[in-house]
Amino acid sequence: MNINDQLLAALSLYGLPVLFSVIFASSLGIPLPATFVIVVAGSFAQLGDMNIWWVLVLGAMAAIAGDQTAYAIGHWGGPRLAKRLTKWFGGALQLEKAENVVNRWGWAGVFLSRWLVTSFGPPINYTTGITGFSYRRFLLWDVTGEVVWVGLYVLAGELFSDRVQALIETLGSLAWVEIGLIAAAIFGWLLYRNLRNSRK
Amino acid sequence: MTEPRKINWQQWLFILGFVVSLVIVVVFALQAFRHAPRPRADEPIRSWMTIPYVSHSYHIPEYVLYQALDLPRVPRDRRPLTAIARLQKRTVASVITALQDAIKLSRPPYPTPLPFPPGATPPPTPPPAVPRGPA
Repeated sequence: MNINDQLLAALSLYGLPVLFSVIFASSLGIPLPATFVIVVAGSFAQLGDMNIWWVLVLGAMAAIAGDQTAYAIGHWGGPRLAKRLTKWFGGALQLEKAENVVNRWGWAGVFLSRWLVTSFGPPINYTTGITGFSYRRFLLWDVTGEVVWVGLYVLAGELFSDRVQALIETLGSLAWVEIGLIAAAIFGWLLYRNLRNSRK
Repeated sequence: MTEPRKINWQQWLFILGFVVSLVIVVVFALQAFRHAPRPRADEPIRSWMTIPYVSHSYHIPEYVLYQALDLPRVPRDRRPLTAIARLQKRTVASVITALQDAIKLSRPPYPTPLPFPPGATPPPTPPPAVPRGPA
């Protein structure tokens, strides 16, 4: 029995505490299938085995609490670590540039990584904390994104409540499609910039 | 006539990265399409599923599945198949096979089996109620 099956079995046995723990841990970067768990919880809610409102509220609370914890770890521990690393290996200028990018575009990264490209969520939580991204803005976009995530996936679980296994496998493949598209966009942009510079 | 532009190693690297990323997109998009939920399509029974879920997924009355596993219909059993297998001291695979057989025999051309009459249900030992979060 793989880890997904074990967690889903635990979800059907113990319900909401498992839902909360898996989502919280996943927001910290521990590789657990939070999306699968929330989808199956949506299906169980449709069957009347879980309360839909508890699933929505606790799911969102777990995700937001995990994100806030990761941001706090990055905020309190990150700058010291970054300073030490740049002292040893250099790259202070690159770090400053990264900080500027995060401060300018961080809100979009926070919002989209909550519900669209969820695999980028934990690294963005830590990065925004390390780079000193405004906490108020982080909180605003984090809460908005997580509410969208929980709502969307619980709804998907309810709509496809009799075909959850197929939905889980489809979502797993779609996550790779998203990562592939982002990587293609990055490589395409780097190639375009490089060709343009070499022409000058 | 202009000379063809030379591509340096960095540009080759970006082209390779771009192509590999597109291959990943195509392969997983095809896989997503293959696995996409389709109406009335049976999905494999997995160890995490519960009897109510299997019943809902296969559009089979719950009592058919409870009867197949010698379980009482009441209270509604929300445990996963893995827990039922452990309780009955059998493998998960044998539980899944029993359910698959019951499903097969309750679909056309076979008639849907009738529920056991009250009092005739043969539960060996009713399983204890499992504590859960707020329902």
